[in-house]
Amino acid sequence: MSSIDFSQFLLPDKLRDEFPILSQLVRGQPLVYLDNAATTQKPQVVIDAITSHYREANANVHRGLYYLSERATSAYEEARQVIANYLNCSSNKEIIFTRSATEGINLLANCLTQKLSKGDRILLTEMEHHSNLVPWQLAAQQKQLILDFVPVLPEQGTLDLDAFEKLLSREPKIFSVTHISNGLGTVNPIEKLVSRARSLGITTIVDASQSAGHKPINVQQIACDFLVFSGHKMCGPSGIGILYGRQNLLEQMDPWQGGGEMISKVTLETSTWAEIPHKFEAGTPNIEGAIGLAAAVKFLKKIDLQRISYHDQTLAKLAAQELREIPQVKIFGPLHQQHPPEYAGILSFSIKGMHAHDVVALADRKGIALRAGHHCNQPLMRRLGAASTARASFYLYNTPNEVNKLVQTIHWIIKNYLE
Amino acid sequence: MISQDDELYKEVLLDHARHPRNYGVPSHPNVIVESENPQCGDEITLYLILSEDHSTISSSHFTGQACAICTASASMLTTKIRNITLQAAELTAKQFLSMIKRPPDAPSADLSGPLGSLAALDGVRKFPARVKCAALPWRALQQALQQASTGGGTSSLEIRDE
Repeated sequence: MSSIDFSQFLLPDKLRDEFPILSQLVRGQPLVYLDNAATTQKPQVVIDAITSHYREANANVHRGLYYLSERATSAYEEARQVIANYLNCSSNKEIIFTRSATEGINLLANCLTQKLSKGDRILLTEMEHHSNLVPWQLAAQQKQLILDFVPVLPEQGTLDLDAFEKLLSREPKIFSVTHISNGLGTVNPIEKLVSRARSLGITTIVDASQSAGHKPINVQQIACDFLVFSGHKMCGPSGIGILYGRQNLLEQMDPWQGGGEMISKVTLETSTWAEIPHKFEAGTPNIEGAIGLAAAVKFLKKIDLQRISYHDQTLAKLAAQELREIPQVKIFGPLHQQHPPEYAGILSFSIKGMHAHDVVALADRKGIALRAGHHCNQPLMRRLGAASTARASFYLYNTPNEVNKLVQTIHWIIKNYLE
Repeated sequence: MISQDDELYKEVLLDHARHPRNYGVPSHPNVIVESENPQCGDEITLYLILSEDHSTISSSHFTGQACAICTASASMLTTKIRNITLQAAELTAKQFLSMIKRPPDAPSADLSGPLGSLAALDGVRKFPARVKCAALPWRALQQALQQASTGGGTSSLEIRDE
């Protein structure tokens, strides 16, 4: 074990009691849930916020002139304010509720490319989740745009910043980049990347799916034009996501989807649009989702997002230190190195001579939930020469004891499968 | 051992996964099917060597990178599909696929039945996500048999779900 005392950064084990699902046995063993980069578990306060909305306050929003509708509307709009505060937006009009980060990027890929012309370029990176790749491929096909990719340095798992600089000289119109790699746990120097791109007049988008709810996020400090994330990866319900956009940019953009809620005046021939944020929220929104997400944000802020970030990192580093000692284990990404560049609570690894699916299926025998596969990162995995990896991703309710169980289980798998 | 009480990773299966039989590219195969499940990354290429009149499979071989379930399934396939007619191979593929696609709570397959030791793969039914792993080589075989009856050659196959 390392001589560094990590315990000062760790959150108390009793936080687990807030998450009812964690107390169950899986295949006769206590559940060790380490697939938090895919989705996170929900605390009782979030479950309660959703059920009490349905039990006490359900009505459609922004329509009814009666008590319940007013109550539902104010809960929905308060939720927007809670998210705006978390991101330090200058106005809550900058927060649009979406279905997911994926939907947010699809909205942007549609709306921001409307005015682009054939041959215009969009800059992405090799470490993007498919959700920040495929929507741009679709838009590129439609508008005959060109996609460029900042390469990943395979050893460090970080972006090649020299190549980034060269790709900027091709004058992309849009730069969309993930804050944290879901496959490798790399934390990108987001402020640096964004400020460099914006200084050249490039529209900047940040995919915060792996950072929202795991660390403080300040959109004014990052200074991006847009930022997206999903609620379910940060203790919130699924089916709700956030698109942040600068107010002046959102105002200039045409709507994406049409329907109720997003209109001002409608005739049979034409319509005028509602003000932002409603212009981008066609149809009855996911009201309980927004309320549940706001409850999650309050819960996380009370714990302290900076501490959550330290906690995630500490557990990933502890696991990496132990797994690095096992000759058959190969770690991918920053934690591959003894003194890694900035990393998050995500640890990707493989066991020599074993397919990741077998590693994960055998870990499941011990009640451990890991992810196997390409993590919606097929191009990145190909670049790293790994068809698939096993991934352990940590969150506030994981404990050092669970890290030990993971390490013991990897030893057990190697002994029983390979030897 | 994992296999003592494990419904999926049985000893015979692990043995095939660790020491796959008929692994490698044979010389002059009549039929080649490159099969892949892009969702999970299993890749199996199946090779058939046919008798002169193309009525019988003399031997089958495979290469590729896949999980233990898929590798064992391919390895066991090649031991079973040997010196039998195309029709018999087709029937075996059909029997195998219907065995692993029975409901999870159906009674265990009989090791003394026509599928013999292939019944060891019956346990995948209890792990629905792994049914496609066991099925992939057999899907490749089905395509290979079709090709065999129409003159042989090389083709590819992409499967996501069963």
